Amino acid sequence: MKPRVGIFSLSSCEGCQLQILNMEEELLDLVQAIDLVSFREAMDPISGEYDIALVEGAVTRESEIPVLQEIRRKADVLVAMGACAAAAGVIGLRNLRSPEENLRRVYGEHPDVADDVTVARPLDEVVEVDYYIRSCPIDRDEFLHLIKSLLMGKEPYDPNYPVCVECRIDENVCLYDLNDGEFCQGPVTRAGCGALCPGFGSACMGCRGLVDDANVESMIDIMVEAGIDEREARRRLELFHAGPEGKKNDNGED
Amino acid sequence: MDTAKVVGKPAFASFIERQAEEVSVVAPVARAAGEFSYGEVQDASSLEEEEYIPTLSSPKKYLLPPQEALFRFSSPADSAVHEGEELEYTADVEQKRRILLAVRPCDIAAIHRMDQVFSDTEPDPHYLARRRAAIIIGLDCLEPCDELAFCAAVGTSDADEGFDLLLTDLGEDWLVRVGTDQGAELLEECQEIRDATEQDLQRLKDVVQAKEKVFRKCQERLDFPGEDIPEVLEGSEDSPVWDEYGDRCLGCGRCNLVCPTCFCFDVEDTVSLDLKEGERTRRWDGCTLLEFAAVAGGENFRRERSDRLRHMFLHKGKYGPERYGDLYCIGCGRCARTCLAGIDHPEVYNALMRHRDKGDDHG
Ligand code: SF4
Ligand code: SF4
Ligand code: SF4
Ligand code: SF4
Repeated sequence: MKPRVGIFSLSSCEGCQLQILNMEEELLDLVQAIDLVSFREAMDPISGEYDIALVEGAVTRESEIPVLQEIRRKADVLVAMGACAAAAGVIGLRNLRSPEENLRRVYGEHPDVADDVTVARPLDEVVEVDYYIRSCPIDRDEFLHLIKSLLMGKEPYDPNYPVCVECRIDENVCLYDLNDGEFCQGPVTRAGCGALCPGFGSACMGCRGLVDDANVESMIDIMVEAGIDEREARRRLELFHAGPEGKKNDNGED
Repeated sequence: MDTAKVVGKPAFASFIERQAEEVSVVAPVARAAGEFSYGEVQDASSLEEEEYIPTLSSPKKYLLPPQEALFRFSSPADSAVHEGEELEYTADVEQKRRILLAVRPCDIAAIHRMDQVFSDTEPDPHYLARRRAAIIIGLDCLEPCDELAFCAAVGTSDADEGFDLLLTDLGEDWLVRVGTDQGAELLEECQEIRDATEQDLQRLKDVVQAKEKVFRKCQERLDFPGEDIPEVLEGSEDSPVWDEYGDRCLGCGRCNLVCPTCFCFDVEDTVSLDLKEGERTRRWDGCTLLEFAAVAGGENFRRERSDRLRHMFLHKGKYGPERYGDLYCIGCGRCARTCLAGIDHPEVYNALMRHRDKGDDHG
């Protein structure tokens, strides 16, 4: 029997859902392999029952918590899809200031228009997450890899080695050797993207989150030695995974 | 000594150009920031490169590609590959003839070590097929490439074997040492080539002798003779040196990935969306990476970065020599050139030696 799959969205730009819709070549094969029962970007929901839930976006409002809990309760497998769901992503940057301060800055005189805003949290701070598809936005091949693995009852492979591995395999000249002001986070960021940004000469900004044993202090030393100040280095390392933890660095400055 | 020939540089250059029309010729090609990578070439200009430093990846990539399909499998019936039916297997073994040009003595020594590993126990058909189809035209180094190399300290700055042909620069001419029948056969296609005379051989001797002096600093990068490395590593397991370097190490795997003698790989099966066919691929792995020593059930035998770093040194400097009689570090310095934490192998060996002399490893 084909597994029933629901695709859901919390606070996000919905860019990850779009990546799935963009898979023109594989979309037909995909719907042969699974039953899509809910996918807001593409269709009206067919059913409220599903086996696999793919959730994009971070939890940023109180009202999203029961929604996510309900999804968790119904799904056998819950997948955090994209940087926001997996690590709070860019939305997590707001944790660098208090929720009240953010509301004041964005809505000025009318902070009550969004009255249930909380710190931004990745899904696994609220419910148990079984698997992750990383990146901002997700990579289609990784999405397909996850679907295939679940169909076979296999653990999907989630690289836990850094971007430098893929970058060395591609034999890019390292941005730290080019010395042109790119402060690459490849040495501590999870691979799987094929070193996409460094391959085009731009620093890895860490959208896939840190590898499990990231040596952050050594990374900071390297960035500082390459000519960036320490505070800025730390900020950059937090760009995609400030999470609720990021709050502790709040110092009220821009 | 093996036979030696002499050929004018222009004649040898046209020989290479003609070869490049027939087969794939690969050689170091200049990249940004003073770096080099091996790539396809049409001429012999790589032989004249004065600013050469070891390539980002070594020529190993032509024998053990970073990623390759080992075999494909498909389900004959209308079932999926994981449903227990007998599968059909097919494999393509690549045997493209390829000239590896301007391979330096250190990399020649590295290929020799890879040959040992991939012929041992279960000979590896993919590696060996590529290796058999490869022709190695080496290029002797007359001076150390940079201050990070330490080939002379580990005995790889001169090549005596492992090449089909080896070129030594005699100014206007190349002196060509012939290492194999395959090399001799290939040279038959080279015009204006003659046997080396007594005088040529004397010139070669002078050049080789001059090397000794020029390479002294390179040799002295290690405070003790390279053949003592296994002994220095013996009993170093608990040395404080590993923690010191492990604190700085990013566990990023860069050193493994650029190393010409690292041979470890990981395998993965991928399948089509209808689950009816798939392939098994292997890709380079490295022991400084977190999950290298992780096994089913979640146990990881080397979770700490310092343990992983130590393992790399032990493999290069102790386990390799124990099994094959050769150091598995050939002193190219690629690891230090790529390491953002500035971890330099001879420096680590020297530190181990100093600690050992102080006796603080053994309480
Ligand atoms: S450019 Fe970035 S990802 Fe690539 S090797 Fe350098 S630090 Fe690593
Ligand atoms: S020694 Fe250097 S290159 Fe190797 S894993 Fe450690 S930091 Fe990376
Ligand atoms: S040093 Fe590590 S990665 Fe390299 S061959 Fe040895 S075990 Fe493998
Ligand atoms: S360990 Fe370093 S110096 Fe030794 S062969 Fe490998 S890359 Fe070269």
